[in-house]
Amino acid sequence: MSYKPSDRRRSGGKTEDIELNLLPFMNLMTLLIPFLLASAQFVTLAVIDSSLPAIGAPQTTTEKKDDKPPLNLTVGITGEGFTVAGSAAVLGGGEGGPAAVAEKSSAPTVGMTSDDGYCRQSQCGGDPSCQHETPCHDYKALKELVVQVKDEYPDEMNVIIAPNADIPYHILVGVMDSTRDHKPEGASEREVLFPNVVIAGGAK
Amino acid sequence: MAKRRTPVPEAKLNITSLMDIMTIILVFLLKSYSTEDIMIAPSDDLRLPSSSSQKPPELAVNAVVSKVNITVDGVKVVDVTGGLVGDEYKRGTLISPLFDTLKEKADEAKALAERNPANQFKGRILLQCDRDVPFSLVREVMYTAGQAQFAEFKFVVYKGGN
Repeated sequence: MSYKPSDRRRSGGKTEDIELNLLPFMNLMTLLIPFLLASAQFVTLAVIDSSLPAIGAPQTTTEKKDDKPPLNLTVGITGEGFTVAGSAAVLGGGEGGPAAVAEKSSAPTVGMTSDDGYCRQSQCGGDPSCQHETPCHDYKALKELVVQVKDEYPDEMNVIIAPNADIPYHILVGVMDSTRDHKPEGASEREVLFPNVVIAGGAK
Repeated sequence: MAKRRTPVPEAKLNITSLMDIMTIILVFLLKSYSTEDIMIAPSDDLRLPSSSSQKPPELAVNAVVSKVNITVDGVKVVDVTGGLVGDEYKRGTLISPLFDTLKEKADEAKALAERNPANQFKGRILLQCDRDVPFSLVREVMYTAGQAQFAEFKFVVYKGGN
């Protein structure tokens, strides 16, 4: 008479729904998450450099590599638009060149745009609750002009920005954006335009 | 004989799905983790403009020009009303209380630089200005900072745009 084979071994060795003990891991998570939430950064910041011309320090009259006079590109910001100018001697030279823009005329070089869609985009981005004004300053046209100037003066890095007193700060930042660099269509790298900004306060 | 009661099976919480959530949140938070020193407190009175600038901010004296006041390193210096600092606080273009505070900061930094040559005073100042502040106020702040020997301005903006 044979016995039924013992199934103790089989049932004993059977893996019976082993559950991972996740509780310690959970503890870790619940601690880590508040900590990371506290130090999370949801808006990324950047800075724009600008410096005052050193007061009282002697101007470095060196590094005149060629006899090209400095451009002294100046962007004035008024309520009516942008006035782009360079030192008269330089801009008068390039006959009919794109840089030879009206320096003397009182009308702004780049007027306001009344393209409502553009104004909304440039002032509000994608924020639907934001109020925008039309007409607004035309950064796109300014950038096109500045790119042309840069083509003529590839070595020039300085730009002087002279806003009117009542110009809101964000327009100043917009102008600095337009003159600093640009990204040509289809290019992956930004092209540097005039990164050295000096803000002219005007005399008072 | 009392019938032996079958033991109530131990109730188990199924936390696997919670773990899934946690893991995803953890990865997301680690991605946005920052050890940046500059902290901004966004409020209705301080909305920074956004810019295409890519330069990361660095540590420096932090001057904030909001719609209602000017603060330096978190300490309120002077009130602003309607985009203007009251005339009683000004000497021409100079904003006196701001000048005093910044001068103090500059002197501190210079004293430190004397002890520690590796930590030179460079006159760096971070300017956080509200997007709607008129340029005249920004100019006064810049002028005042310049007088207090802070000549390297860093305008803090939101990174974004194209």
